[in-house]
Amino acid sequence: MTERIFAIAELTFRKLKEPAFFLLFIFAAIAAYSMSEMEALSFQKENLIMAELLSSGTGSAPLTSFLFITCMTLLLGIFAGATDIPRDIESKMILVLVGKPIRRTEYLIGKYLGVCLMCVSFFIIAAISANVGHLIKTGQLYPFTMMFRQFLLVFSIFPFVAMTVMFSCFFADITAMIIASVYVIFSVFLSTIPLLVEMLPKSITITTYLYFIYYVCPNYLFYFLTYKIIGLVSVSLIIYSFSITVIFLMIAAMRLNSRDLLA
Amino acid sequence: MSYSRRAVSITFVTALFLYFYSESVLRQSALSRLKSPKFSAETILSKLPVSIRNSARKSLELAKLKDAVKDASNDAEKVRAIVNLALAIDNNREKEKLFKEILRLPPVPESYPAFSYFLLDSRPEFTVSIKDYQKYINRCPKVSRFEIWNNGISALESKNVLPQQMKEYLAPLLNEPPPYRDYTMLYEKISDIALRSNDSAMLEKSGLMLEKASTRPPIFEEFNKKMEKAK
Repeated sequence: MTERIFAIAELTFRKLKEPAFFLLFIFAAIAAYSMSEMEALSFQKENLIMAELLSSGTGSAPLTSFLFITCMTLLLGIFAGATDIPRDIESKMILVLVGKPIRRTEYLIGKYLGVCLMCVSFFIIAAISANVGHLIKTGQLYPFTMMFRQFLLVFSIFPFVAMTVMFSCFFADITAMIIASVYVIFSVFLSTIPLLVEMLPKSITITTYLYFIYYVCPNYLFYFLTYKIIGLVSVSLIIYSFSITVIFLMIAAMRLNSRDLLA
Repeated sequence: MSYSRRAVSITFVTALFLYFYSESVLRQSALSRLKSPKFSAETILSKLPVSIRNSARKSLELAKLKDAVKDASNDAEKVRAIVNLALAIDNNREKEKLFKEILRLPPVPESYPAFSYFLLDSRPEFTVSIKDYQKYINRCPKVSRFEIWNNGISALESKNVLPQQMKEYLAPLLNEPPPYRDYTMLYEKISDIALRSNDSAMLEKSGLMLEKASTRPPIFEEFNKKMEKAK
């Protein structure tokens, strides 16, 4: 079973050979190198409550250059994750792949892992480039704890890709891309609900409804908080990422298994 | 249920459990940062445009007052919280509802806005008669009475009551010695009514009381003494 999943993942990952993806990787490396010392350009922390919240607390904070790399990686995640399955369905390629002995769930997990691999590679190349940029410009490497904190941003990729793959099982490629983008924007806005609820007096009864909406979307804000890299928060963040990923993939699998691929 | 279906269900439930659990840990961690004063509703309000700020502030204040009503630990505290809420509310129906609620609770000095609101109300089922109002005043401590008397006068004046009713309301003041200097205001009022209605007996009595009241200490002195004792 794992062999079949990895075969599909490998097939997806090989798409990196396409010139568009190749150019995107080069762009990521150059952009990350340029952004490596751009902390001074980070948002005005004194004026933004959200920025103050993200930077408050003890531990390591995400660097502006790595926030940029994460955003670029998530963009790649939308492009690759939302288009792969609909295109396979449209070109009838999926019929070849999901014929025996590959099951639809295996195909889905393979696709998901392939896109994740692409995104993680993209993130690592850009991160290495940012490190090289920092080394050349300052003559020093980033401290280990800070570097480790930045790599924890990778965990935002897994639920994100699972979410785009889930939408791609329901809609055509462009529609899936748009819906995934809208959903992410919504998620970012909804991430502030617990903060809002905490500040509001208890008698405002809309809080129950707000929480109901809030739980429907992943809270991407958690990935950008400042926290100690070894502790309950980082462990919870990893568990959080994987639990959402599983939920999204299970919904995607249910849809793919019930879908008429000839239609 | 087949083995694979059971496995799917167990995985899904486990994932959901882990999702809610890890989310709650992360949320608590994020919210713990909000304890700093820079993360308050007031901070956010100050950053909103003026047009939205005032209405948002009002809603927030009302919600805080509602919280105070819910959190009240005894009747006096509850009445105080309801009064504050009623006075902050613009909607008259809502205000009236809250005042009715106060009348259902044991009377405390803080209940006076509700009593004066329903004083000689035209609806018989809600009305508070002058006698009931006076009974209520007598049940309150002396230091609080002046404010309640005064509030009653304002309520009656706003309802344009007959001079006879005003006399009836203020009459008990002429039968007991004035405890504080502040009462001079009330006796001046009585003198004024007596003069207009040509009631010389009342005028004489109120003049005597006015003199007595001017020799008494002011209420704030009593408050100060109480505060010092409390320290």
